[in-house]
Amino acid sequence: MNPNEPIQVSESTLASARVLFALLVREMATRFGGSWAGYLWALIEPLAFIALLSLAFSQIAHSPPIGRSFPLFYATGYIAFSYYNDIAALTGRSIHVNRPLLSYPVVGPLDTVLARFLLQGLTGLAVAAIVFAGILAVFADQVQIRPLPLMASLALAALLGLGVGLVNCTLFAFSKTWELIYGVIARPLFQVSAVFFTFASMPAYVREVLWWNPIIHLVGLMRAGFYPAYDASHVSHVYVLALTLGLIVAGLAMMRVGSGRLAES
Amino acid sequence: MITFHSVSKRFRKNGVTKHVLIDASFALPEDRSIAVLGRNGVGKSTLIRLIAGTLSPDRGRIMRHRRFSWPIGFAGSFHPSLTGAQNTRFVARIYGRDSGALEEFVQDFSELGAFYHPPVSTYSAGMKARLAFALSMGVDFQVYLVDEVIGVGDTAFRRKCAEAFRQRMDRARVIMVSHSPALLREFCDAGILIEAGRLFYFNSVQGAADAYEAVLAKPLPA
Repeated sequence: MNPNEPIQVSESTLASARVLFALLVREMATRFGGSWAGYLWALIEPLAFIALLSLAFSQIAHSPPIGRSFPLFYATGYIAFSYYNDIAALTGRSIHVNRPLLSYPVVGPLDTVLARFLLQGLTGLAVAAIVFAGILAVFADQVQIRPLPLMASLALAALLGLGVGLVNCTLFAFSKTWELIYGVIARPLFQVSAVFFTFASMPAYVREVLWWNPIIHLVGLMRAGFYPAYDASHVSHVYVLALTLGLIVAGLAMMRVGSGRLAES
Repeated sequence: MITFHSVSKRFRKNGVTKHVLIDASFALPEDRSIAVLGRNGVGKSTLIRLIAGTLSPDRGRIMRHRRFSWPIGFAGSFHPSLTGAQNTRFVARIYGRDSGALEEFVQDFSELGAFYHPPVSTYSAGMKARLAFALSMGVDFQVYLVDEVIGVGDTAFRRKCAEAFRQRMDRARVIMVSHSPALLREFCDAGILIEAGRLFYFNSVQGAADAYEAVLAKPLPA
């Protein structure tokens, strides 16, 4: 063993921490425009959407599919969906938007993905906390918060988003066609993710297909975290976890193979 | 200062594939400044960019034991939507420098004036080059990489660049591609010649220059 080795390791860890921090600051500068209005928008967008869904559906139904509060029902669906979706969308474009910075030898493609993952992960958590706290304070409902499924839903959503983002950020860099195809695949995702309905309310043959959509499971876990009477027996942690790990491993492998050309193309 | 482990690199230009390095392993000495020689299109710029890390090898590994600059004047690493000041702070952070001090130095040296604070996308090529040059002087690299240019901008600014560059040379080293024998002799005390995918090291610039004359007359078989 080289006696200098431990020093080199800590030096390189420090260097990656510096790079990650620099990228985080850089992302915040462009993401929120360095102003409070930018941060506020991250909160207003989901609130407006949940309000809109609640308003629309309360006109045609007497009560939401579960519980009594429309806003809470749509929040459980929308927050789980958007926590995944925002992370996937942002990390998926991390190489594209940061490409010039990759020509600094100390900045690697994975750093840009992790910086965006951290920023959106934390932003999304803050948004989720504020939205749920606000809704529960204003609209009474018979909820019993169970932290375990709630946290499982958010954790799996974050990792699934990271996996999809990792795969996409390399593929997008090499194939414009894939970017178009992915856009077509991802567009109807919101409509088939049980955000504004429940999985159980669908006919059996629809459920069989929908079950493979991992976001269904995330939304199921989220609702299990709020509604004691909700039946989340269709949720499979194993399926979501296996899919997530598969995507992360595939994404890292593609990035490794393509890394030489990522900075150049 | 840098070690290549069985590195291969080829590039395609106008449909022709060119092998710059084929399974090349070598280490460059820490205490020398090195002139890079080779026929046109043999891949001198590619070698500089491999050393800088802005290009990755197709095969093999490159280990850097010193802090290398990007090629002097290379402005391709600025983020267009960030301002000159923000790009400067980004560089200060990734290289662990004091942001305030670097920002001050760069603002002063680059002479960008009021343009320091708008986004880099509004800059002219010359302004970007001045920002890049000021930054590479401010970060205080251990090895500077030069691909033909040691100065940017108009005559006065070029003179200032050369002066700053000479000052750096009392504690930093350089790896330099240049068509000017005078420049190579002023800054370098060793040379390498790239030819036919291989790299030859010489203990003096003169040795490399003689070998270069020889391959000009009679290229090595690829």
